[in-house]
Amino acid sequence: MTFLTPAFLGALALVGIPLLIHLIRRRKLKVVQWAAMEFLRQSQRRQRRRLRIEELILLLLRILIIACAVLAFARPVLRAMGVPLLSQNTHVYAVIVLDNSFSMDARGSDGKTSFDRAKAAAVEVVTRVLRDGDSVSLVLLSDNPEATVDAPSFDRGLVRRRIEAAHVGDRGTDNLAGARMVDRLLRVSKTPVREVYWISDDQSDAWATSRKESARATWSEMGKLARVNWISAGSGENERDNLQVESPILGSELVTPQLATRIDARIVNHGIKPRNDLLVNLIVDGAPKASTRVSVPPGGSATAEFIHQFVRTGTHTGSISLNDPANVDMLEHDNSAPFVVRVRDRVKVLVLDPRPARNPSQSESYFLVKAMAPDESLESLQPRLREGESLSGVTLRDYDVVAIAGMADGLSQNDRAALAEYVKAGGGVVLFPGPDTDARQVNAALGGAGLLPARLGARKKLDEKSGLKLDPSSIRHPALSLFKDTTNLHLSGAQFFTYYALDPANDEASLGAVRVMIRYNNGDPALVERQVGLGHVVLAASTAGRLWNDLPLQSSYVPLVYQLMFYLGQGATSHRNLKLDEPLFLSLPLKDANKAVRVTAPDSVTSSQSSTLDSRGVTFRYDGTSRAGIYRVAVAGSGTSDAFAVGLPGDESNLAYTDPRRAVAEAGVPTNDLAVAQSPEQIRAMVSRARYGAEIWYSMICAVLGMLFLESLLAQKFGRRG
Amino acid sequence: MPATQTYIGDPKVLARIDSLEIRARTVVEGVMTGMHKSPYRGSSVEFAQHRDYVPGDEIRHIDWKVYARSDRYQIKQFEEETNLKATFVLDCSTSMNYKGEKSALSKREYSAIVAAALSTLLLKQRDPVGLAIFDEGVRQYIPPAGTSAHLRMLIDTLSRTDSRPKTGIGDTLHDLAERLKRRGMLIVLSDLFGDPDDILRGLQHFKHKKHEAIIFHVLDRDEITFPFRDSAIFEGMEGEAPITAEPNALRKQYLAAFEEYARRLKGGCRDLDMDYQQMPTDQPIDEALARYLSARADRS
Repeated sequence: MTFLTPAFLGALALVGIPLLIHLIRRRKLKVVQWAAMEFLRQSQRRQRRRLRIEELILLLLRILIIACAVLAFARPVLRAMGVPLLSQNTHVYAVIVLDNSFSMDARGSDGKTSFDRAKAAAVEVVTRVLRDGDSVSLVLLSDNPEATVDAPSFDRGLVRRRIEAAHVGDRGTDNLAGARMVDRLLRVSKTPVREVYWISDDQSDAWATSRKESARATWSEMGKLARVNWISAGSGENERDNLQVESPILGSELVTPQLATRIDARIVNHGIKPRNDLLVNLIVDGAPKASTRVSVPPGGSATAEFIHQFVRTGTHTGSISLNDPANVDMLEHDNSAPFVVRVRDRVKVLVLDPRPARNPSQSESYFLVKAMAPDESLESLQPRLREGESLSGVTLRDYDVVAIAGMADGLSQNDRAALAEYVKAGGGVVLFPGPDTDARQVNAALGGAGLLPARLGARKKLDEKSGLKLDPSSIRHPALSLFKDTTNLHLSGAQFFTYYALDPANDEASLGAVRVMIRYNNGDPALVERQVGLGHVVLAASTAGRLWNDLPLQSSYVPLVYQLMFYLGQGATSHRNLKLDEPLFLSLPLKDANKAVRVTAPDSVTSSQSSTLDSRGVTFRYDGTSRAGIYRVAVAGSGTSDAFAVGLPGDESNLAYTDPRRAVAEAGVPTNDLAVAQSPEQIRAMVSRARYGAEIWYSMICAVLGMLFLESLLAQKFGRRG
Repeated sequence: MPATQTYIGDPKVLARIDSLEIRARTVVEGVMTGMHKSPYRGSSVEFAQHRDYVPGDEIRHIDWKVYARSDRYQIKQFEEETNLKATFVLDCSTSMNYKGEKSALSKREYSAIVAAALSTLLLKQRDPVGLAIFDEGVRQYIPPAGTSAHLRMLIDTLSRTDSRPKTGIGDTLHDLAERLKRRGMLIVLSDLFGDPDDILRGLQHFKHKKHEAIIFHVLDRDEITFPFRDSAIFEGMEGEAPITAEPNALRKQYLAAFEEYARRLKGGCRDLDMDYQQMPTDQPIDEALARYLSARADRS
């Protein structure tokens, strides 16, 4: 306990008054000459002990009354455990953490968004809680926190302007990331008294990373370095229902006008009420194209499915959105999800057949070419067959994909080098083994060139009765996601009698670049992909023809070939549908070398930088994908343009609440009772209590009044009036 | 008797009179008025014989009819029918000097007036009256006599006696019982502060000696009600150690102890077939006496 006006403590000497009165009264008692002493003596004998106790009780009570009254005037405060007390003139360094994740855009029943309240609270802290001489840093909290006022600033006006200029971003929330940044700022500060004002909507998922044991040190450090004041700006616990449109899943990001594509989006209900017959719209190039209805149970999801055929070539932007997105729920931000589809006239495929048979139908390439263009008419894929294993005289850049049906020796050194260059620049290659494949030679040649996703192992032969089948449940690769749903297409109908045991590369260079696309039902890899530079190489374990399997005779063969070719044919610009912070990568024609490329972000902010020319060709990379939405790219002085979509982080849409007191304690902040405030008055009271402790003068005055009443009662009862 | 009646024997009135004799007469007058019937009714005196007048005899006792017939001064002589000799046993210890703030008379003054008034009344009936004054013992004893001069002497003695602390009242009563050879009436005027059993044993001694006894228990109102509020040091008037007390806290216990003591005294007197009369000093003396004498007359 301490006192805000300790000068009054001197008056504690007043407690001597009752004692003095007690003694003086004894000395100045009236003397009565009394005759009936015997009765008095008898009474006194019986009462003496009780009288002494009563006298003592009254004396103590009177001393206590004076002491409490004096202490109340001295404004006593009870300070929080373990927190150094702040004297009136001590300055503080405050770090204001302002959550600007997109969940803060949720609008409450009062018409204000969580961010409106958070900003008001931050301004309150800057203008009413902090004083001249206090220094401030401002951190915008998200999964990628940003210190907009990094170095401690004594200019509270500046901090206020920064707060007022802040806006809700498109990011998720990671409290641990915020805590790390706060720790860094606190450690740098020389001010002995530090405070953290954490203003957030108390989303449960924001604590996901903090629940790990490794996070405790960070939170613990923050608790030791500063006093943490928590301000809850979110809507009430019962106002946290939310619908979310997840980023659309595209059948393929590369389509042709001849081919309809599937566009799906999962609609998630994060609320506690079922949402039935929700109207979901598909919008392409700004125009509504289709609608569907979904019913979503509470806490569950439903998929809105669309099939759309793009007529024109080029890049198309679109979105899947809930009907009336502004009013369908409290958080509009995630009621629409953008996507971009690139429509190309055709995908050109060079099919290399090293050992063609006399009868073309017996060749390994026969079924492959037939699957791409059955009647050689206008199809989405445009295959060109080249017999032999040499690539001499071939301009690889003219093709989107190179398919080698029945590898023999693994190409000549020059061809390997050309092929490696082609892939690194964004080309796609698919390799099939054949009866003439020299596994050792191929491993050495293509493996040495860094083109082989897996090492060819032993060739395994099985009898017709025990042939292997493909296992659709092993599909993890987006290019084959179509086949996960086995309702219409069933890859497991095919049987494989001979195949190479593939040993996926796991050296340092291939770390993260090699993926098994699908496995046989015995677990052996059937297709393995490797990213090489900007391109991809896929290696099959069995033949492309029907020599070692009957896949070409299955109905799923054509779709499988199409999926593979479209995936590999996307080229360097393989992903136009990105996540936040994922770099935007664009492969440009040679004419655009070293030209300025302008990017217009979803918030209409434009930036410009030059394209790069290197061994991979002309490329452009953009790392500023910090906002969700459509990014438009245009090359200056050229007709080249493109577009990319960046989706919102999924977890942020779940607005479920967690009590910050519990979460902070569990995270490891060494505080017994975290103060949480909501209104400006609560903020001021909370800080005052945290800084100076809780003033208890009011309680003491009440106690004095109570004791006076008690004294009066007791005195009456004990018979000592005056 | 109307409650608003003012008695001329009101202690406040009497307190303004210095002379005990006048105080006594005043009270007697009040008694006579208050009783509505003569206290002389059923007088214990009866004519016995004539004798020659000698100087010193009261003129009013001369039988003028005999003088008319014989020209001789003859005095009427009366025979004592009951042979009643009254002796006042007066407590003059220091405790009797107590006078409460609201009291006009001390217990001793009050007792003296009672004794003087009753003496006057008794002598008017020709009953001899004696006086025993005690404190630490029987300090003075005046045997009963029935003359006017004797009354003046009694009143004079009552006026002049000083006070000393009393010792055991029981012993004093025993002592007195032994001294009184002839059967008579003892009228005790005391606050009776002492061991009730001891006092009652002393009174029993009276009974044993065939004395009739009337106990006037003279008390100050303070002693009956213990009205004090403020803390005070109570100093014993008979040399007891002082007691610092909170009256309010003690009152209940005090009153209980006092009532127990009074109950025992009253009960003891009843058992001994003695009259017990509590006389608070704020009570008009004539009223108290008239009421008592009327009640006594009714009983007889």
